[in-house]
Amino acid sequence: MRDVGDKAISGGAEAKAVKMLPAAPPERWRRLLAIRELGVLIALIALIVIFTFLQPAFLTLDTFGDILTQAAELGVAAVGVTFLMIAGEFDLSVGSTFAFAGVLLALLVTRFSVSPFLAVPAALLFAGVIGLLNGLITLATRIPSFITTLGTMMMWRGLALAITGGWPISILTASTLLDVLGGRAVYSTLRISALWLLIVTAVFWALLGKTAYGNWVFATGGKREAARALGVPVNRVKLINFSVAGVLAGTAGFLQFGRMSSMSPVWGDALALEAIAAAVIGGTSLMGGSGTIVGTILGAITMASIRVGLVMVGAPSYWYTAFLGVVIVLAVILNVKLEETFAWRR
Amino acid sequence: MATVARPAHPLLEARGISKAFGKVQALVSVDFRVGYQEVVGLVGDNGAGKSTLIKIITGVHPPDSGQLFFEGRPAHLASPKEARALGIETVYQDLALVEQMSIARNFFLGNEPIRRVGPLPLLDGATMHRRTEQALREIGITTLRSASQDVGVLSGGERQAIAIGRTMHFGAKLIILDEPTSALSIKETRKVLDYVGQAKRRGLSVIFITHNLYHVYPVSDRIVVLDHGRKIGDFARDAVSIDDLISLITLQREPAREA
Amino acid sequence: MKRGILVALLTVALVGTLSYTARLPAAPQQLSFFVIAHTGPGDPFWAVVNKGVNDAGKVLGVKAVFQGPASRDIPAQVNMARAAISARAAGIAISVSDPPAIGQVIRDARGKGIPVVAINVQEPADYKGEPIPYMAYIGMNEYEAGKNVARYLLPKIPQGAKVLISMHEPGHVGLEARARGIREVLTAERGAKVETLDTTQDPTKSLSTMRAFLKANPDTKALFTLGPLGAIPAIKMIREDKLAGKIVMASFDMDATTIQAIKEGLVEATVDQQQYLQGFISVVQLYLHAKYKLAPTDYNTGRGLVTKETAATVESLVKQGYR
Repeated sequence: MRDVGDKAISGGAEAKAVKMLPAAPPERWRRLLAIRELGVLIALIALIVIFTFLQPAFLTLDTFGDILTQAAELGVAAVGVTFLMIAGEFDLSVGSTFAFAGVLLALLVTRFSVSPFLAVPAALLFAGVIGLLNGLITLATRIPSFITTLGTMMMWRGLALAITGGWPISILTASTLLDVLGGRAVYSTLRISALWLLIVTAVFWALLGKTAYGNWVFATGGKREAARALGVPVNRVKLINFSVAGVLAGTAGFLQFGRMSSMSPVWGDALALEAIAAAVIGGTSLMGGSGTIVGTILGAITMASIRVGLVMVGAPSYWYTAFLGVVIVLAVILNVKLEETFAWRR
Repeated sequence: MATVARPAHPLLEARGISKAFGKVQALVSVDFRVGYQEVVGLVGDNGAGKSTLIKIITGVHPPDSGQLFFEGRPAHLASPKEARALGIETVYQDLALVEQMSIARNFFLGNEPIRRVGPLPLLDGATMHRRTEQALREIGITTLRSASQDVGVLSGGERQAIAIGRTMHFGAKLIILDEPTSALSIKETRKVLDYVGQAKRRGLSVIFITHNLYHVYPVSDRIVVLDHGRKIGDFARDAVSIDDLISLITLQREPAREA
Repeated sequence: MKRGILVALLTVALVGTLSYTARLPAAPQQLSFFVIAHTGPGDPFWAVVNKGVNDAGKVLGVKAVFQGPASRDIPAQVNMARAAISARAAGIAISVSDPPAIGQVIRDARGKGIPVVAINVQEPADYKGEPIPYMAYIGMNEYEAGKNVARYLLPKIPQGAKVLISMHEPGHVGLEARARGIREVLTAERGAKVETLDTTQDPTKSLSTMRAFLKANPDTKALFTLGPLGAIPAIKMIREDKLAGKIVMASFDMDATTIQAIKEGLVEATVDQQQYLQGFISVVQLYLHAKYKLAPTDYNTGRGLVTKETAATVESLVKQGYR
């Protein structure tokens, strides 16, 4: 047996010894420019500069606490949505899960006098089951989750309205539960809900970037067949992420309940789209397979900044929506351009 | 070239494999073997039965009749997982890697190294990068900047190389390459053929499935030709010319004595 | 890793800058007043409040801003109020649309020395929570207004009649109080069977809900809507289905459609709560307080009813956006 091929190959391998990199920006700059959150960071800083110029009181700790507190509910829900979007699925029902779980908790502790130690885990579990059901229906029927969760969105919203008769449920006396969920101010305008946001961010940032499971989530959304061929249990990953989206939507509902002392079955009707917007501003792909938790949180903070900033500069109502639309489009363009230019590392 | 003491039996042996899907007889009593450290080209026209044979070897389908032996022992593969456990790995064109993920993350997908920090099982990113870069160097991939590059920015040939490198790294004994060169430029094809040689030199065996005889011929030790579910040729590469093979495939006429 | 450090550094820098500037004295060049409602100027009713606020700002030479979410949204309203506090408002007027949630914001604002008055919706009489410390209420007494309009229609409602109330914002304290006033008068005086339907803020849904009810209950004698969002589809239904004469209708608040329907005799009466005053007077009162420490006082904007006789005179004013 002659080893013609081998000879040819070893020759080839030697010929292309270590090739030097083409001239490129210094490594440090390259890394800075390649961070996925760059687009949203630029957008956020630009907004802060603009609003501060128009209203000097914007650049204060008070305002910052306000923004972080306002971003908390949206941010927590958006982390769940991002997690699911990276795995290649959507959940349009998070707003309804938010309302249903919040109302459920409120009912348990008020009308049924259940201990918060029992009521909170029970309502969270229920939120997780809502998410799991979304996943099971989607995987079993192979209907896009955009459609299945559109259905469950209406269903859970209707059920939330039905079990409350459309009325908000309020806690009128001082309540440790409400304080812990987000009612109490930690420092100035900063409320406990903002701390929950930081905790959720840290946990899911680590889960996504620093564990094997996170790797599976990216692979499931990026290329399902490849992930499956390498032994990643893609369906289980999706089910888990649907459940996570449910649990975090429920958590966001709890935070809102804590902050408002009230929970209404009609609240959170724009939450799903706002959460997707926060994710997209933060660089998460609508196609699945890429995104970051920090980007999403910055997206939520950007949206809260717009809300707070426009009120503070005294802009007429309704500018928020229009302005937000502009920011979404600009941020996405920025993200895409930066990705094209510096897409080489995660 | 590394020489290993060769056992008497081949690495993989399939005896009398038949498989039908409904009324379509996909394979008819096919004998197929792959020796240790041997590159076997599996060629034939569309519908010849190449992919059915591969799916049986990788545990996707059970054969209707016939038997598989791996390393001399009978193998009953109920799933691709079992085949992988034995050391049979497949690299599918286009399906192997996730574009949005880094090379290192792709390399260890489903086999992530874990480092425990207290009770937390965390991804060992440093090990992933180091071992990925080392493995890629070993099979002669030197053009990549870093294992943290996204696969999406790589060329088709580089992607094939990473997929091949991955199977080698995780202890594959037999690598099945499904049309690894079909969408590549000439230069890239050349590189992938290099990697096939590298795999062989490191003691692995390769089944190389392709339409393109010019690609498979230089790197193969043996070439097996299928047609309409039957094996119509099995040649030592040196005993046959490309022209002979072409006329065999197109005219189903046997040009030379079987090896 | 390096990237993590970078993000951390940026955050520290941002927080550092913020804490530094937090110490700078805020120097608002101009008094600014915020009027914050649970719904924005897309609702014809609130468009009039918006005009009142803007006009007051022009007359007084101060910055007066009306803010409200696109559709009823309490958390959004709370967030806007918090932003107004951060903007160091010289005064805030706010609708107490959800007493526990809004109560908290008002307490926080007062805690920071910002004067607050309630407009449009006040703390309910039977509210069991901590009293809400707004300084005055500028608006109408919803419950009394409900009783008032029901009494006006009594002569046209037979004993034991079936009556429909179209509730377009279930859970809204003010609307619920209006409905309660109507319900109490009609059940006490006529033994009427009063049904309340969630007709939503969507006119199409509202229309089909009411039509379905009337199909099931053709003996319905009277229809009450609680604002233009309920009235507009109801008037459309009365006109299209030729229900005038079969069903008497009354509503709340003023808008061009309702006034036109009153002129045509399709609607008997509507309660005019003169919401322009809620915007205008609240800014004036907050201004006088900021300037001369004059204490804001309760101001009842709810007047009588607009009927066929008075409709023509107010119509032109509605079109100009004052009524």
